[in-house]
Amino acid sequence: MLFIKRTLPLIITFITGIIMIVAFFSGPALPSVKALEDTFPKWIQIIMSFTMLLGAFSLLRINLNKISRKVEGWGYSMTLIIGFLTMAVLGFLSGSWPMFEPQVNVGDKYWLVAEDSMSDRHVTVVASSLDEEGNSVVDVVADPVAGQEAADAKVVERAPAYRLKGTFMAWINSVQQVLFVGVFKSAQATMFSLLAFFVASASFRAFRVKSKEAGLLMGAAFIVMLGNVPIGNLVSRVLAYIPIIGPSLDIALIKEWILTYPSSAAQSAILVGAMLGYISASMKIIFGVERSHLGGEG
Amino acid sequence: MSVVWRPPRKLVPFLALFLCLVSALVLVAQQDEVPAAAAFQSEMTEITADVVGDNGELTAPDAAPPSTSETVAADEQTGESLNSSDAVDPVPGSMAIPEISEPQAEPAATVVAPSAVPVVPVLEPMAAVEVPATHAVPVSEPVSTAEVTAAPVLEPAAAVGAPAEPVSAATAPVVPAVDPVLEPAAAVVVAVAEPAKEPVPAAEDNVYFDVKRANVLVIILTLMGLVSYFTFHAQRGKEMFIRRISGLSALEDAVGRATEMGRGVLYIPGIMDMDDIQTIAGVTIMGHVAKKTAEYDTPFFAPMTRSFVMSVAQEIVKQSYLEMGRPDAYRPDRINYLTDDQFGYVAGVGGIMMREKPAACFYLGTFYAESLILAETGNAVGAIQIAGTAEPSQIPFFVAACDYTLIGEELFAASAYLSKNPKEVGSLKGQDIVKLLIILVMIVGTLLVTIAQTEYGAGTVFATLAENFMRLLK
Amino acid sequence: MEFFIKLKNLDRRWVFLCVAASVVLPMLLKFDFPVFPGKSVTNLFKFVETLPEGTRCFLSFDYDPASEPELGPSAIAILAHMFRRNIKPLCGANWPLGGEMAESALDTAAKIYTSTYDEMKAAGKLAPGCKPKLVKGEDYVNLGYKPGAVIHVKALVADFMGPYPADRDGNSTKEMAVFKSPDGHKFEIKDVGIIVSFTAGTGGIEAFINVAGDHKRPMAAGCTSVNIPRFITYLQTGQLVGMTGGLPGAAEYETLIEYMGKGREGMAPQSIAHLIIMLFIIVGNIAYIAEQRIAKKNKA
Repeated sequence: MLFIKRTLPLIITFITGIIMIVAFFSGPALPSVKALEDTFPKWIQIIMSFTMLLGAFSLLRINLNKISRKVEGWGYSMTLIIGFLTMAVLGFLSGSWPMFEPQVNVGDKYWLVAEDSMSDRHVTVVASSLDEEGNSVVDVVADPVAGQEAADAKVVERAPAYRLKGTFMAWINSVQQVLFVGVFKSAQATMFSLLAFFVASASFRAFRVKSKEAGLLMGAAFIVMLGNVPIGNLVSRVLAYIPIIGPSLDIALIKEWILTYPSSAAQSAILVGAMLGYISASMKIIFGVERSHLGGEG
Repeated sequence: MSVVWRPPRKLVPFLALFLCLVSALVLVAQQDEVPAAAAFQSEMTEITADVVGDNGELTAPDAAPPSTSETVAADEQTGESLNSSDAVDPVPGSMAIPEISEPQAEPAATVVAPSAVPVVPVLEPMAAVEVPATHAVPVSEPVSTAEVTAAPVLEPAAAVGAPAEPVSAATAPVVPAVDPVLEPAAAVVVAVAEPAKEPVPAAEDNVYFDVKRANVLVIILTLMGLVSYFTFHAQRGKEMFIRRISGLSALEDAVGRATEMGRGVLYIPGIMDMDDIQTIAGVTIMGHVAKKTAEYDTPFFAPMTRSFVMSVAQEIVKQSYLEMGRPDAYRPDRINYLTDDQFGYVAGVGGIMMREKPAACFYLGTFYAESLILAETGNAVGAIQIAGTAEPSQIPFFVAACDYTLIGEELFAASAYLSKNPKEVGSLKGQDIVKLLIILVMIVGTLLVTIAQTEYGAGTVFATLAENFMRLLK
Repeated sequence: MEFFIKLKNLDRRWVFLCVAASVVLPMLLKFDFPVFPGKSVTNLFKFVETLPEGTRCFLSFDYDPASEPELGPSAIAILAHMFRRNIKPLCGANWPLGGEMAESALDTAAKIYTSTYDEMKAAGKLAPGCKPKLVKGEDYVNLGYKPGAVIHVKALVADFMGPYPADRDGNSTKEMAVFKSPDGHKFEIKDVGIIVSFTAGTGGIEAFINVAGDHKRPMAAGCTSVNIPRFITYLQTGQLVGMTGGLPGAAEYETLIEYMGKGREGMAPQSIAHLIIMLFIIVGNIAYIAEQRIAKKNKA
């Protein structure tokens, strides 16, 4: 048991680590080794996608458990399960199912879903062919829509055949898009924009001039904040009236200087340190010095 | 007494360092034999020199001035590659475009330059180097070309006459044209010693080692050598000093505080997957925190954004509880997966924070835009917060909103700091020495290049040294 | 004094309300702030100006809808500028939703170009070869998303047309006018005048910088505000010819091309919000100082 839990992972880590290092430094004379540099990340992606199942099971189990025990706030768990199942089912249905889709017939009417899946329109297929990669493509003409010029509607357009849908599938697609764009993306944007509020509250609470250094930091922060927006230029113009030093107080220029030199230098220094940490941590993992991620101190 | 001579211990790191430097020199020497490598080396920096002047100012080619003293300065800053055909002769549909000077072999037939080509006076005392450049200058406007070249070059740095290469313009099929180039001063550093060579594919086929990555290997070997040395040393019982990292010292206090308040601890090992070293560092520290929560019997919440990390974290926490003799207190449902979506996850964690009101929050791993949202929500529920990330853009947010922040490499040092495992402590020491070496290299390089660029340094031994130094780095 | 102490403990919901007001009010009242272009944006603008007519440029849309409000405006401004200079943008994407982002940016930019065509023509600000209407596949192309980031860029360097046998709509690129060269040679990376990447995070301009040694093309970036400190290093080293940073960068580019777009519209809310945050920092500090003084007095 200990072998499977500890020793085997260490052996696998060591071997793959060494292979990756060799692949990184190998020259063009070893194409098969060099290719591993590209192949390995793909394998990782495949393995990672299998672990998605783990997550889904964990999520369902915990929330179903909460519902069955009627713990406080089980309604949220219910919402989660419904949302999870709805999106999963719609996602499966609106995907590409070539075996269930009817043969595309020239002259028939279909719904052509836009590339971004956001909208669809009624079209008539005028020709069907295969493109260079062997995928089926169709030439379609948009059906006239009331109020639109007929001349514009007769333009022949080429589109991949998988974007043609029957009425039912077009409906499924629309519902999924409404949920995806209307709910999911909007909720995402809302969460992201919370950042603006939190920046304000964090700076109000935490930005205190407790020392000279903090004072310098605040000065720099004000200059960068002003310099980043047009108001900085207005401030510069006002400052220009100050005799002698006034004209050299260009907020935008000072901001650029702060970002290009002190800030950039500090960032590079942090990066150098972090990268060394990266290399040394990777080495420790490859050589099995650091093994606490396998559980326990080792 | 042993008859085998052993070098004094104190000298070993220096010996290791010396060996690394020698290997670097050997590799660099080898580089010269492989034209492909030499040709590729300086391109990144050449782009700098060619496209943008050394002060970052771009000058439009039509501003290429007649010979007045004021405009010479502008000339010096003008990226040579900007002398495209457009400004001189805006031929509609012309496909000639500004070209980053790329080392190319001259087609034999076009080397002979037209007699009209003016020669740039090279007043520069340094070895003038010819930099072949590809330029599109239609001959239809020889006057402006002459104007550019007739400008007296007063610049003491490298003014370089460049043989040019014909470029097909839309109007004429192949027109041999020459554009003398006023090489910006910045190019001294980069372009000076770079003999332009055409990559030879045939030679490349036999290369088993990617010479372009020799510099990476040198750094890794140096690091490995020093880390092994210090690890070995530490294992033999030598005391190594680690400075106090207040964020890590506060870990235990934070858990203790949560226990006193009868509330839980929340732990987030970043939002990336296990293939990110920061996540591994995060879950490693998680083991230590879990031990404390097991000891104090404090609820331990760890919502996850990746299922793989979830299963690893469950294993680690379980092990920690087992080691502390509290397997019964381990609750796997508190280490649960939420969603892979960044902001969906933030919303989920925010919910957990508001409901469970943890008294201590730990954010150790890779974070992006969610850093401040998490930290501010944690603050709103009155938690003591410890954060750590190597993402430079997120460090300021954590510093502002959390009580303690581990900056950059401190996150990776955490495991050594907490475990006091001699092997890990030794590796930290090795890492520090490498950092010291990098600082030294930077200082020496900056000094050499700065001296070489001054009028006193040009042409002297400093210039050669600077040139060799830059080659070594590349 | 007491007032300041109270202020220090101000409920953060008041802070949130003020920030919301500072964003919403200027939007409703439609303030306009004069925008003065900075050096990095001007450099990029000038570089595009100096590109010969008909140059093909590669624009990589490495962002998704979350960053669209910040990066979209600068992409639109740069595209519109390219159209006016008769430069042909080839749009690609390293992010899965980038193709979609490119499509909408191209649409908007084309509309801006067509609607301002007469005005610009009269002012003499159009390149001589500009036509009143743009044609897809001739004046621009959207090649869509390809996975791989650095690996994909490497593939482009080896053979530009290799990864792109067809554009995003499935039309073959072989016969596309935009890829035709006057001397008949196959389109290669060296025909690209400049590479611009609109980068929201990873896999953007850095993917191109990593292989700069191979493609040797000038590069520029559009990035989100939070990434400016990260990418400004590349400006300083000269690896990038220019950069538009966040919405202010877009606003500056819009000023240079004389267009009032989302960037310039966004400057008023952003300016006021910045001022509000600064105000809060100052108020917080006054409260802090007041508190210190009271503590000192009590001690004495």
